Amino acid sequence: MTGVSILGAAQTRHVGRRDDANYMELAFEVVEELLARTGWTHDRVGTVIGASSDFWDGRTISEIAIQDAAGAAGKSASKVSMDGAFALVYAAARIASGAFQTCLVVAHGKASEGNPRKIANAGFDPLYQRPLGIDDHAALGLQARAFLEGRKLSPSALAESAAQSREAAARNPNAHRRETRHVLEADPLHDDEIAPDSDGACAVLLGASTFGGVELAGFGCATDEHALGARDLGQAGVLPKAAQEAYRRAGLGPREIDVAEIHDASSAQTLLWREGLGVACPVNPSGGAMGAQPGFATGLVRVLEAYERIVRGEARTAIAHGMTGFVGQAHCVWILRRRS
Amino acid sequence: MNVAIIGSGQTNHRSRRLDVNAPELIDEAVQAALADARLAPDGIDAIVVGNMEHFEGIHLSDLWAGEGTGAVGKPQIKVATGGTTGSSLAQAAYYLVASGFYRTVLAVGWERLSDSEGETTTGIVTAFDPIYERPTLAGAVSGLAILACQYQAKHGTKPEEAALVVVQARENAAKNPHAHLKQAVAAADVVKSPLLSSPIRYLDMCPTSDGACAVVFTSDPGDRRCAWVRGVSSRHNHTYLGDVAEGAADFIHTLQLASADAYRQAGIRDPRNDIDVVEMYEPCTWAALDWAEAMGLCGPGEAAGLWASGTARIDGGLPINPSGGVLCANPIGATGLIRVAEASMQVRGTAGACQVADVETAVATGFGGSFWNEVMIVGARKS
Repeated sequence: MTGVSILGAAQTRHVGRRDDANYMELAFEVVEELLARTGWTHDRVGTVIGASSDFWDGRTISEIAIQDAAGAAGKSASKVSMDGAFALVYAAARIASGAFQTCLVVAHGKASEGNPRKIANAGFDPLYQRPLGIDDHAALGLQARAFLEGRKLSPSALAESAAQSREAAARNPNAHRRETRHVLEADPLHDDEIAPDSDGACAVLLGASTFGGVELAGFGCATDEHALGARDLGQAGVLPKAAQEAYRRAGLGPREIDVAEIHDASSAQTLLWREGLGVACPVNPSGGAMGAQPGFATGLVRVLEAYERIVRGEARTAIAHGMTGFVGQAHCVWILRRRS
Repeated sequence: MNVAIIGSGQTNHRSRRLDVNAPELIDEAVQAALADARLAPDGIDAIVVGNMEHFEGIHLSDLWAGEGTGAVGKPQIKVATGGTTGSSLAQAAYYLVASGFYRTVLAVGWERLSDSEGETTTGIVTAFDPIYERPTLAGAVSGLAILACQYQAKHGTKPEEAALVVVQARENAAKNPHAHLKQAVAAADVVKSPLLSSPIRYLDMCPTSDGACAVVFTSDPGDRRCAWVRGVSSRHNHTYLGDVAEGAADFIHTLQLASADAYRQAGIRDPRNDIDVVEMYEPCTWAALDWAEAMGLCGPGEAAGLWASGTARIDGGLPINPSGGVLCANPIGATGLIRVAEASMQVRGTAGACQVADVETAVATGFGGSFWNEVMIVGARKS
């Protein structure tokens, strides 16, 4: 129990390139959509938490640009420089502390304005790893190989998993439509087995439980070693630890979860993170991150998808998972529950 | 839930720390904070960290830093808000404990620019709109110069009066083992130092430093000597600089609003008398004058008198920045957290040669972004 609920959410359609909008305008788009959907107004929103990356935005203190878009002027606001799922922890804490009744969480990612591979390279140890030219895709390849070897699986498992995600994403009007090719990108992963780089944004309005909404029943976070060599990449790392904390806080077990929305940056992660969460329920009916990966908004989109499934009555409980860092260095797991 | 600060640690801030990398620098501050709080690493339930990625040229610096913060296996959340990063860390740590989500949270801020690909001004230039503002705004100094010009025009304050802020800061810094700039300066030196952006001169402006700071927040202090968090507030601002300068149609004095809100929470009615010591985030001498007034420490146009009369000295009636402040040490991601650490040290009676006598209530501020401000009040009593 956190004492905090989701009152509404909105996302953009995620695409490869939004030349008509800068990232400030992407944030504005989802905030306006959220307010229109929920009937809330800025003067009833107590505080604002943003989630974005200065490196991705190409602007330092990048939330300066979204303050007006999020109606933050004159309010208390802050920024989490991690995936939006982590920003949700801070936002919920602001409400649970009693200092605020409501909090608007806004996350965005505009991959088309930078070179995501070069940006990723700047996140590795500057002396020992960065000069090797390693990037996020190379790390995903190492992880996928370790995953296949550890379980004696053939690479076809990766292709099958990717095909399932593609089918699900085809039914999701907001998923990133792209032409995929089955060419090797980072052995053993092919281009169509790696999540896309998308432009998009997501906003979620949180409120104290007294406002109703869908309950944030629990959450858990955990951080792993930075160096890839210090982790067993074929395993789910600290994800089970984050999940256990979330289950404990929610008072639920993995078998009581109806649907899971996970941040899968590769088709290997779709399988590996499912294992790490210990769930047996459907995973990523939206297509997951394999269907759209708009930077630090990706995990918050998972929260939105889980929320909407509960609102539509398709699930009673749901998991939403976000991560930051390479091949799951930091995980955040949320459990959402319909009010009885 | 009531939240207490039970320990803090800082590096000795320097212009360059070539002997350590970022995780090693962080480790120094974290070990000192844990020792001060009498805690083992497993006594920390969650960590909030922050620095500015563009200043150092390192993306996801929080995840590399985990080796120094002790985050492996634990929740760690990164907060990064420019100059306010440190004060934003303190606020995030406060809310994470006050919510009941975690019992004990470690806040860690740092900056290490020594051998990085980044640089502070290079980074800050990119903060502004790439089409409308970037070509004319040269980092942090230009925005503050607008504020200083407006203050000077309004009150007719002379540069040698503003200079007294840094003269006193250096005197205090000489007593603080963690301070970076300790050499005494005279007002005459300040007004003759090179002009950066009128009226701000080289010695009016804070340095950039390498350093780290860590502070432990908890809801369960036990028998430890602690500083209770009594007021927490922040106010953000508009996006474009034309909207945040005094005189703009939608002008918001964020420090005035944040102070008033924090004072209300802490039961402070007369700030001049109810506050025992201030740790203010003053990036330049002129800003300190405007902000002392915004905080209600004196009347409009009277701020220079706080320094000229000795009121702001460590042994004065209202000590301001006994640590030497930002003018004498500025490891950016840590700077705002250092204000909170120093304020809590004053309340806990551990500020050494910088200690002000009989501190019940201390105020720390943070400044950053497009003129936004954050305030945290700590006190000896829980409520």
